[in-house]
Amino acid sequence: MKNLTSHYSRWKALAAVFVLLLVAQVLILLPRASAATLTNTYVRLDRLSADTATSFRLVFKTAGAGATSVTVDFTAAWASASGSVNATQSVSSASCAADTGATALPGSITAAGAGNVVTISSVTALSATTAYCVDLTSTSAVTNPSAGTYSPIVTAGSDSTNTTIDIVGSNADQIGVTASVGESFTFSLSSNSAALGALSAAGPTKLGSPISATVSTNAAGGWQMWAADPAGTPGLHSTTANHTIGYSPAAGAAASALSTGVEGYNLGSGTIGGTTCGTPTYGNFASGGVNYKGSGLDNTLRSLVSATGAADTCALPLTTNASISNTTPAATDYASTITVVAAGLF
Amino acid sequence: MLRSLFTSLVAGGLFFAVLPSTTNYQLNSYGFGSGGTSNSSTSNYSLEGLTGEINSQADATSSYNLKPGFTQTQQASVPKVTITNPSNYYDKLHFVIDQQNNPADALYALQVCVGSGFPCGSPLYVKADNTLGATLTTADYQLYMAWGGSGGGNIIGLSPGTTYYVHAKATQGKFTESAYGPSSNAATSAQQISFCLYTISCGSGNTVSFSGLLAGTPANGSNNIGVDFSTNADSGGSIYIYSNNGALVSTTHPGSPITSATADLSSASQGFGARVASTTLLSAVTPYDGSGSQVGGLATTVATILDAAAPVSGGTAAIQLQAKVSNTTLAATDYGDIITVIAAARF
Repeated sequence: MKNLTSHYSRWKALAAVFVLLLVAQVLILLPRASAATLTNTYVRLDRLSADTATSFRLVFKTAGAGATSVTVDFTAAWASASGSVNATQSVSSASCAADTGATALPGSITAAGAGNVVTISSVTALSATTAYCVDLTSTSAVTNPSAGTYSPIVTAGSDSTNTTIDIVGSNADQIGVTASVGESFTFSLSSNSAALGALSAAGPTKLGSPISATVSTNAAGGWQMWAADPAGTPGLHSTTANHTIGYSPAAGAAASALSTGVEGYNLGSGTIGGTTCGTPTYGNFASGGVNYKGSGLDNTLRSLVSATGAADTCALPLTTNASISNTTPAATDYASTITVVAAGLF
Repeated sequence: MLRSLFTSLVAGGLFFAVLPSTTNYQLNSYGFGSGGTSNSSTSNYSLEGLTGEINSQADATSSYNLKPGFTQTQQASVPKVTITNPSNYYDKLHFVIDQQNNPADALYALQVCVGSGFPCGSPLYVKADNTLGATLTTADYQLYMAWGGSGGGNIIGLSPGTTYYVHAKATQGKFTESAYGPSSNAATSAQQISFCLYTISCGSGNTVSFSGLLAGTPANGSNNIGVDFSTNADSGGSIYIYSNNGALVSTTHPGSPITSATADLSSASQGFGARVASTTLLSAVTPYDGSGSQVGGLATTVATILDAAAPVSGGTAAIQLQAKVSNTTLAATDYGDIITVIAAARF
């Protein structure tokens, strides 16, 4: 009996040892997960200029699944060439997906720099064979080293890859653009004649269709328009009758309307209009839409309107008005010449 | 007795001077031994055992081994394999197996040493998926055609700037695995990217001017922006562009910018933008692929302007800037902007 018990105990011991050895073999022989290579990977620095601080975008495609952090190791070569990684980082994947077609790096991601490495943490476990993108948005996320090629290592979980960047000479990634815009000014009158027709003492007469005085200019200071009557005796003058229907009101006076049976002549202006006119300041000739209202002219250029800023096809309608009395001498040659000028204020 | 013995020996000698044969079959190879057994097998394993055979290398030179014995006569022909880097690869190398007259159903396995020739401490094996692995399994023995046939295949997942040594062995049926054949080696290239931005030639010129812009007429910049781009990245790369201001801005009149936008400047009242005027080995990306006065806008955010979908060597492009002013674009001589052009390669 003693022997039988002894044998039984020995058997159990041997069996236990066997089991332990078997388990050990299994543990030893269990395959390890092997690191795979990320693909389609790039670090896009937003500046390639040497010695320049910049933000950057990271895009990569996973091999395996499960990574919850991503690192970009700019390597000692970067640092030894005067490059650096900022300890303070800001990270976002809000806009990169639309640009790249990759999936925004998921999670409540945060980023920090230490040594040569930027680490993005709190990443929601990544899927296998999926392209992801993320932006390190600080304008000083990294500082570029001197010109040359450098190979940061991108790691997502246990998978990684090298990528390579070309740093160019100082500001060799930029083009300076210059331009000049010349001064321009155009002015025109829609017509050079204003036929009032037969005047009657029964009431004033106005020009049937206003003449448009149009200005276009890129003068930063705006523009102005003036008018004058250069005649020796300003007004509607008849050589035959040797009579002049004088301006009413007189030149320089505020606009007023002609009266029936009272001799008078004036120039009225309407409201400017066009593509771009700026803010106007009217002279004394603004009629305010009232018929036969205007002001008089003499040999002095008097402001019709001025406006701030540039103008694009900005037109001022001008109307001549005349009225006669019962004693105004009859003639068919009453006429006047009104000069209208304009200028840009450069 | 001696005479009888001699007669027997002579008869035996004569007997073996002629290969035994019938009408249809001939015994081509045979040896003398003291006996043995063969084809002892289970469902998974077979044993071919012969006693009295020489089973170790008897004679050798630097190029040849003498491997006598019946077992050696069953071996598949020792194959050759050639490995090359035909196209500046940084992560793969190309191999082609030379079958050395092995039949079509012969299987081949490839062993690799990294950085040094054979033997090496930690050899790797080309797996069925053309990656390297630490172990050789049955699945890694493949037919010649599975290894790409005469066109060969690529060993992938390699490290840049590294020399790889490879040799191959063959087997065809049971008990026929050959030794490894002669090795071949090649090196992967380093990852490469090269980018140059200029307005005259690489390294020269970094300004574009528009002088005396007139209302109503699109104008081209004084120079095109030149881009040179090369990379061996598997997935090519892209060129990107962005603007400091998104406009030509005057310091004198900052409120009167010539704003950049995607537009046909022949009909737009004013604008500023870019188009790819010409390319070699690169593709213009919308909206920079317009013609005439159709330009893409330049924003303060980065946009892709050129792309190469695969490795590219000697890619170039000319980017034309155009501007147009309106009647109300304020006169000034100090309009300006800074355009940044960058590149990235997809490894």
